[in-house]
Amino acid sequence: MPEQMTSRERVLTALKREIPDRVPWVENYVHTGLINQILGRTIRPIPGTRLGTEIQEKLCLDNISYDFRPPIYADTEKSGDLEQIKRPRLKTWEDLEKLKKWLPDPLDDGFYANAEELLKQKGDFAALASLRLGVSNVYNSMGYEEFVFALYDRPEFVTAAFEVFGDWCARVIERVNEMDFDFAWTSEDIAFQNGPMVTLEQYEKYIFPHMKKMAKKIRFPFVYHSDGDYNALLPYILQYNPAGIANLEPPVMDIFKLKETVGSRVCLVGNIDLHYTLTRGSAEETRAEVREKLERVGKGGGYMIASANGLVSYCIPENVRVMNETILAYGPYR
Amino acid sequence: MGISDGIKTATIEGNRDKTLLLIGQALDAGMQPGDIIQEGLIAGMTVVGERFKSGEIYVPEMLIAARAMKAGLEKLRPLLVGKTVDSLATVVLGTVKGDLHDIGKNLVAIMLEGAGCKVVDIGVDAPPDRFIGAIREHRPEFVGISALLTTTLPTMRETIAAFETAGIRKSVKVLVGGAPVTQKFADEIGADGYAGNAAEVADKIRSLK
Repeated sequence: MPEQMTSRERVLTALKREIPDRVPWVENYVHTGLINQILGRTIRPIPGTRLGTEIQEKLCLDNISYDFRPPIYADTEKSGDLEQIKRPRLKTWEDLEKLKKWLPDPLDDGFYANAEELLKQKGDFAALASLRLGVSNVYNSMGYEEFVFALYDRPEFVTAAFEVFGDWCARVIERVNEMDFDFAWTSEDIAFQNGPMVTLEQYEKYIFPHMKKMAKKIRFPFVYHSDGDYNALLPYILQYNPAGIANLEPPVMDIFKLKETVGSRVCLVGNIDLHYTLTRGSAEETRAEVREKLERVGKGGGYMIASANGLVSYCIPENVRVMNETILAYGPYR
Repeated sequence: MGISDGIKTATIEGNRDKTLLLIGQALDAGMQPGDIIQEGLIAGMTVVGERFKSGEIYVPEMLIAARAMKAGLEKLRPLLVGKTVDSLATVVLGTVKGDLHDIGKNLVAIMLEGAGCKVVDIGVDAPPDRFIGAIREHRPEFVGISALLTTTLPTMRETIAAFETAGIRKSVKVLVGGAPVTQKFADEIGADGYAGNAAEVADKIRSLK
């Protein structure tokens, strides 16, 4: 059995697909509403924090997380921890010029001040930089249908928009590379539950070159995240050389099959169901799912347990506590 | 290849210009608008739906085919005034209150139109009263309720309960769908049907009619 590790050692070991002392538990974000419920008090996180150090009083989470994602150029509506897009604003070349001026200055030291504050608290936790690479911001800012039609009718607009968001992200990555983070998480949703959001030809022609160029800029081990069924895109995504792939949304991403097919090449991250188990299931169902994944996917290393997206405010707190207990009970490598 | 087959193929390929060109030729040749819709546009979208269900194509191919179909329908609609066109069903469709996601709902609308349904789209963030108002106004056979957020699932249940309270529940069949929705949940909230993806909805309607 490996000697007891710090959270940082545990995460970095798993990302190298070696065997840590136990399966790490990482989350890209935990909603403040859920943290408040579990702690029984109201926390005041540093702005930009997606996961601070407070909830670790109660949960064996191994990381903290800070948000460096560019804003979406759209009118949005926020309710509690949830933000939804109401009206996309990126339609024309003129909008693209406005967008450049609208984005916050990535060269401004002030943009990184809150992250530096959070990093002072990191202690032995693995510090995660939550990044984007410029693709999902484009379709979210354009609206998905408009984005798809543009890929057919005016792909030069889409690629120009990738460049605008990409340039911004690249400047942020350059700066974040110099900070005291341990790993990165690139959230670029590219699939629905029934498959990729774009055709394979469109992915290969427009998205793959952009993503490959952007991924090279990251100097940390990074976890690539997408929702949905992105099995068909894995041959491309693995060429970005991610240390991990997340969040492997069940049932469309079969983590047991992935363990066999790509588990020797990349660390698997996530897969604890949010559609039902953590949000509507029973404690017993939670225990069973978490235990099965720890035992089957954790075997031999190369697994970081996590929810299928992030710990959202509508998770049942008791189920999250049960997830924690089960990780402590069945996560250690013996 | 007959002209109907040409329209069907152009629709499947999402070739809007060719679809419109061939529709013009079909009309010049004396083909009835209703037949063009059935044998060309709807036949094309049926193939698209089957290919989507089998995983052969993805959402973009479906959207681009639907755009060609819609352009064709727009061209033909003025010619249909006063004529009876077979409709599979009238469907009121919306995303529940609290949920602003519309991609899934829009895909369902596309596939239903492509299957020959009349679709009344009441949009996103739709409270029960908006569904009820649309049901009273349009007298549909079916109502489709969509949700992406797990948090809005209780609202789906409340919406169906509101139909009971309003005394209109028995007049419509309720279909539900969306990422967190399952057959089990649909049964629990008293829906009449559940579809796992947009292309399955028309099949469900045919089976429930």
